[in-house]
Amino acid sequence: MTTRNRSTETITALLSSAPALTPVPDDEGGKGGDDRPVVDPPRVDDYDDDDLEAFELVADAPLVKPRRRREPEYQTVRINRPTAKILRAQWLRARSIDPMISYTEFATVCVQHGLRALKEQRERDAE
Amino acid sequence: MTAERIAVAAQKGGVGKSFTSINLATGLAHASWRCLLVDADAQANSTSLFYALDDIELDLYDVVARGTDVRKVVLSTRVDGLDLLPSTLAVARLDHEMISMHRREARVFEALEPLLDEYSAIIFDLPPALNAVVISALSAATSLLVPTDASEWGLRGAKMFLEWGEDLRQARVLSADLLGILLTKFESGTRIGREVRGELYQSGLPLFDVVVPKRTGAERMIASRLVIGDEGSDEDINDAYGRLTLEVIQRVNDARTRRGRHAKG
Repeated sequence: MTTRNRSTETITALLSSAPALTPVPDDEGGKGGDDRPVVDPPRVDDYDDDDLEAFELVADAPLVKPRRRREPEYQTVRINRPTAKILRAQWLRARSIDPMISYTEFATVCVQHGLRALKEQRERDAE
Repeated sequence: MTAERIAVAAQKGGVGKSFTSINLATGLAHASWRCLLVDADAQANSTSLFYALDDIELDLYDVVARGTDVRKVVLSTRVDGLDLLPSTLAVARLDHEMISMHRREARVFEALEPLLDEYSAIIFDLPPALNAVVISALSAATSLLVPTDASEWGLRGAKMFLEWGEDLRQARVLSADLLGILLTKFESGTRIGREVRGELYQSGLPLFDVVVPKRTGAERMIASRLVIGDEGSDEDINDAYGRLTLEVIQRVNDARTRRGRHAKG
């Protein structure tokens, strides 16, 4: 019992009169989140409609060959030169947020997002 | 008031990250700072100190990867004013799944956002790794505490970690203030201990005044699942982490005052 009192008293004596958290202005709340850079989307003018002509792919199927697996059901996307230039420019910007992101990862995420968006747009158009 | 988010991080294992996270969080709770301890390490050391891992149904993985409401995952602990966002082995999968997530560096922050006004401090116990989970937690942090043990490898690891942190800072991923380097497992009677401490003093890095001594009592505390202030806890450890808590409070409040001045321009 003596030990308990001593341990508790040590902490209580040290910390009972510690100051409270200092408030900071409201914009502090954005630190770590909203304050960080966001990858700017390409301008609409940068797109060429022809870039999208070959998108007859399944939106949710994997695009790259899964490593260390025996699943051959992946699809290959061919990207034309203007699109590849845009993708590369955006990847360089993305690296300012995440220095570890690889081009393959980034391109896969972008194309997959694009395919899903295209699929949703086609479904809306069909209704 | 928005919580101060303190990441306890180092790339080297065994330097006392979890022990420091747990006892700093406990100390802050004793100082009437309502505190959330976020266990982001799949080893789940912080979690296991308060709960049997078999009892954990939801963890950080569910919050970040599955979008589970963070309020359903946070658990209260036996320490008054201290809550826990637990971890299990599932958190090891989180890093792999975050690879394909959009804006993954913001995921931890976004997962905790509903709780920011409910706590004075959120302490991140991070794994000894430089992976996507660590980057995301560092990105969410407003302050950084780097423990290092009193060894040559510990010293080198701390320097490497800080260099990596600078890269993240330049990439605008990390914006946390470096609260300080905490020397742990220090043995004043050994030459290497004194040399490492001397080298740290000469490095110009912001060291905490308090040094955590090496004590078998610390191992006993872990084995018995004790935190500072508990019956049977080591008196020197109690004293060290109590004084560390005071230093952290002082440095956090100073940093917040500076941020406030900076925000006002």
